Amino acid sequence: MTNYYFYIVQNLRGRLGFGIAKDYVERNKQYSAHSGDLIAFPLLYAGPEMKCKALERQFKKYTIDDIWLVDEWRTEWWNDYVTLDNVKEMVTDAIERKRLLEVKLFTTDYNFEQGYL
Amino acid sequence: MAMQVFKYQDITRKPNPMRILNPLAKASNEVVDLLDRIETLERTNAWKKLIKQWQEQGKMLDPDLLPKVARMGLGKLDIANDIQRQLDAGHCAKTIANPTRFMEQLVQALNCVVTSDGKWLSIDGQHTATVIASLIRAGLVKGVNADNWRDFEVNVLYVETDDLAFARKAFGILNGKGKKQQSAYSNLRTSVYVVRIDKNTDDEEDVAIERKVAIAEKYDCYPVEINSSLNKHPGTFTNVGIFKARSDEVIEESCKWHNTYFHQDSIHVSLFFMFDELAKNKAKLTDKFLRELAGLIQNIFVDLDGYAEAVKEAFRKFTKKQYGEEMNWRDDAYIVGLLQLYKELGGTERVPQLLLDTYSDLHLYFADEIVEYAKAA
Repeated sequence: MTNYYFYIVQNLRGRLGFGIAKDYVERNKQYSAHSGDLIAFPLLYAGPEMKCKALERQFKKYTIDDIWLVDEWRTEWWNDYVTLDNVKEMVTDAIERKRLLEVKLFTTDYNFEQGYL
Repeated sequence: MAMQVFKYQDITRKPNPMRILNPLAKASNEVVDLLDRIETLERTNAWKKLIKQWQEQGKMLDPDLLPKVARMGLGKLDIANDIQRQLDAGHCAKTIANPTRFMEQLVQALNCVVTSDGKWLSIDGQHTATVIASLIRAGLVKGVNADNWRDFEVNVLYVETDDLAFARKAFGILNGKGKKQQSAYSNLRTSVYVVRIDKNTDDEEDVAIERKVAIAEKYDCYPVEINSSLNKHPGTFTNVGIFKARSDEVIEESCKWHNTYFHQDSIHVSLFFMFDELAKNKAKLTDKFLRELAGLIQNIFVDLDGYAEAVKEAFRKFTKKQYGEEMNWRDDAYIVGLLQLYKELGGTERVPQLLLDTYSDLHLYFADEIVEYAKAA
């Protein structure tokens, strides 16, 4: 079964965001290239594609009031007040609520210089 | 082994906040003055930007150009055929003058332009004017002689101009283009409040809509406005038009199923389409069948949102392969894809053959990882 990934990303100022990717190394490179610096995935989860996509949908829906807006554009970043502890709790809750038990924490504090793990 | 894929795992039920938040359960009866709305508008970025645009363009509202109000005899009214639509007799007979609905208090002012040669050209309200004049001619207006319809005065909002381009644009605006329409939810809310708050059951349609909403609420399912902050809550849905068009039985079955198996989720519109097709095709909805369908969705797609996304992608590939081009999505494919997958994975309950034969082999076009995952489950 090919793994898919759900990641939490953090910009250099500390703002947290989220997303899904089939290739976490390439995705991390893209963030880093756009930012001009190494960008961290403080949390990287792995699991079947459908389950990772469901986890992302949960975050989009249930944190809608906390999403950082650029004018009217809903980004995949949260407002400053969302902390990593909040996010960990939300992931745990979503995994339990939606029975996404195959989605597991894959690694922490990842950036592309670590290559494929 | 494959049967594991049908095994639904119970999910801990949490209290649904919509039981308290549901706006249809109680009207606030709150009245605020206009300043409340003004301040709300002034706080938005969109309004601040708009004010800046007016200032930059030196634009000012001229009160002298606002429409004026007059009383006018119906006989003075002219209809410009190339501005107004053809008269819709059905609209006059079945809607405006429907005896069970007609209320004098709701008759709207006509909208006209008055040209320099004294002509009153209707830009909105020809149906209303025609209905009133025709009711007079039928002897159905109190105290008015049937021959005197031309002298009967009605309220008119008018603008003085010879510019017929203005009249044409005004007609478009007054008839919807550029005007904020009532949303489907707003119309539904009106029907529900008329029955629940005003205790008025004169209109069969209002009663039927309130009944459908009550069935849904019984199973913790709630219509909400599109873009409402409520639509993240379990059991909420925004496709009000689709909901209203379903029968009471379909709403009962679909909402019950949602509340039994996916009570932690908001509702994807595919729910109503799927149960509608099952009902139309006289499917036998045994407890085992309904639970297995829930298990199949839960194990492979997690929820109906996940399933809908996957089956739409499968349909796109299927039509491209079968017909050489991608066809527009069809809502009956929601249930067809699910039932084909159910049978492919060894489901034993009887399902309508017609549904299995529609879009034959659609299930083969689900993404590889879905098929692999399903077979491994």
